[in-house]
Amino acid sequence: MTSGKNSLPVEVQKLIIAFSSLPGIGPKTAQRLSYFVLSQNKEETLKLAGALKEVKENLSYCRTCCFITSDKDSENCYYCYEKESEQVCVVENVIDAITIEMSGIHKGSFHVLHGAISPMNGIGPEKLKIEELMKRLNKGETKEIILATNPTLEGEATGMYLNKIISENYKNIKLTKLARGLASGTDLEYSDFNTLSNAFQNRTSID
Amino acid sequence: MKGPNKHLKGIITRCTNYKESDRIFTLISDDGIMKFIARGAKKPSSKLSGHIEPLNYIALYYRPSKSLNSVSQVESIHSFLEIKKEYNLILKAQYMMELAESLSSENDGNSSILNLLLSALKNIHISKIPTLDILIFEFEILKLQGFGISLFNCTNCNKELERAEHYFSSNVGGFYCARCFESKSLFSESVKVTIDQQLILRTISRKNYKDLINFNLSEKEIDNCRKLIRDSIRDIIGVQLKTVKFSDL
Repeated sequence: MTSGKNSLPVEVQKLIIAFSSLPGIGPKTAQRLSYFVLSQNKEETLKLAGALKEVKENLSYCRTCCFITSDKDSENCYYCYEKESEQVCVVENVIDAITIEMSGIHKGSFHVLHGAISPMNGIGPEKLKIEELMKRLNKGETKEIILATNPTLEGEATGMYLNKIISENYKNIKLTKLARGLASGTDLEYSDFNTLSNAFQNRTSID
Repeated sequence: MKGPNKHLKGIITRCTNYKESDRIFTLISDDGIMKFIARGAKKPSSKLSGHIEPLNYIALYYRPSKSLNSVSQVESIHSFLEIKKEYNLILKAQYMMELAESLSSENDGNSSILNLLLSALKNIHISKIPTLDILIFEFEILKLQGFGISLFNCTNCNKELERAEHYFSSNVGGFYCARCFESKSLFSESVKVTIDQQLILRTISRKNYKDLINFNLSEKEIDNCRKLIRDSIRDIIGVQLKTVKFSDL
């Protein structure tokens, strides 16, 4: 079945619209992906559709740390059970938590905010998982919060907001944030003022 | 065939990640508002990373393109580090950037908005009353873009306004005298403005900013003035800016 002036079948049009709703995918790429799906064999395509369905049906966010969990009914996810709850690393997104987890540096647990404060996009603190973090801190198990938000304007603003509310309400909790400064493999000559300023402020003595 | 590289200065107002490591950003520049793509800017080793951040005043070289202009070289001129250290100042700066963005047009070759935004951002962290600086910025940017608020004459009959409480309409961007207000029954679209509030706005319009210090202004008076201007802005743009509610914090 085709519709109106557009000679493409309605099913293909729907697929193009669905693909273009993904971040970073424009209408042309959505078309290309749709034609690729059409050219694939049925088995491969159904595998993709099945994976998408399973992700939405079987996974949810942990009520404590807001990380992905397959256990919908439980209060705590695998990470909440297995990791030390004294040290909580606060990150913007799930992918940030996975990156830190893969490095093996952090032994404590995580808290995923699911975004950062971004007034330009209408995202305020109420849209982030900050209330869940406060509930967690109320339990009194946390001794240190490590702010690991991105070193962007939005990430820094989120860190400053968290710093303000945590230091005001939880005086016994130690607040730290990841060091800012020069990254490995960069040239000093091309560094921006913010990075240089941070690098100078956080300079360390040579033993 | 690719054209020669062009040079431009401007303030980055917003950034979005694109594909694996690219960033698309909006710049308020000497040539109006423009969009660029910085390829590979998300990589830590990129020469562009760090510079491509909102609230950075940069100089850049770019290759003009029919779609998105591609950045080849960037240098930071001013990073507004004092603003970036304070949460409330970040929110206020973002409001000013969104306002400047919404009143700018593409490739208009007018650097006055950029200059106004630059001077407002440079002063906001040393200001004793940052909301007053925002009010001045709002007032000035409207004037600059031809939407200046009529403060001295009635917007209906054009008669000079006497020293009294008058009615302000954000719809027409000015005041009604008592006679026009009553004869036209403009109750629903107007708000009563005190003599003090009118005096603040008139002083700002005359650019006598030093005189404002002698007024002993309260935050409430400034907020009331800002409400009038904000309503005008909403009527001009047609939508409420997303950052408005954050700029009052």
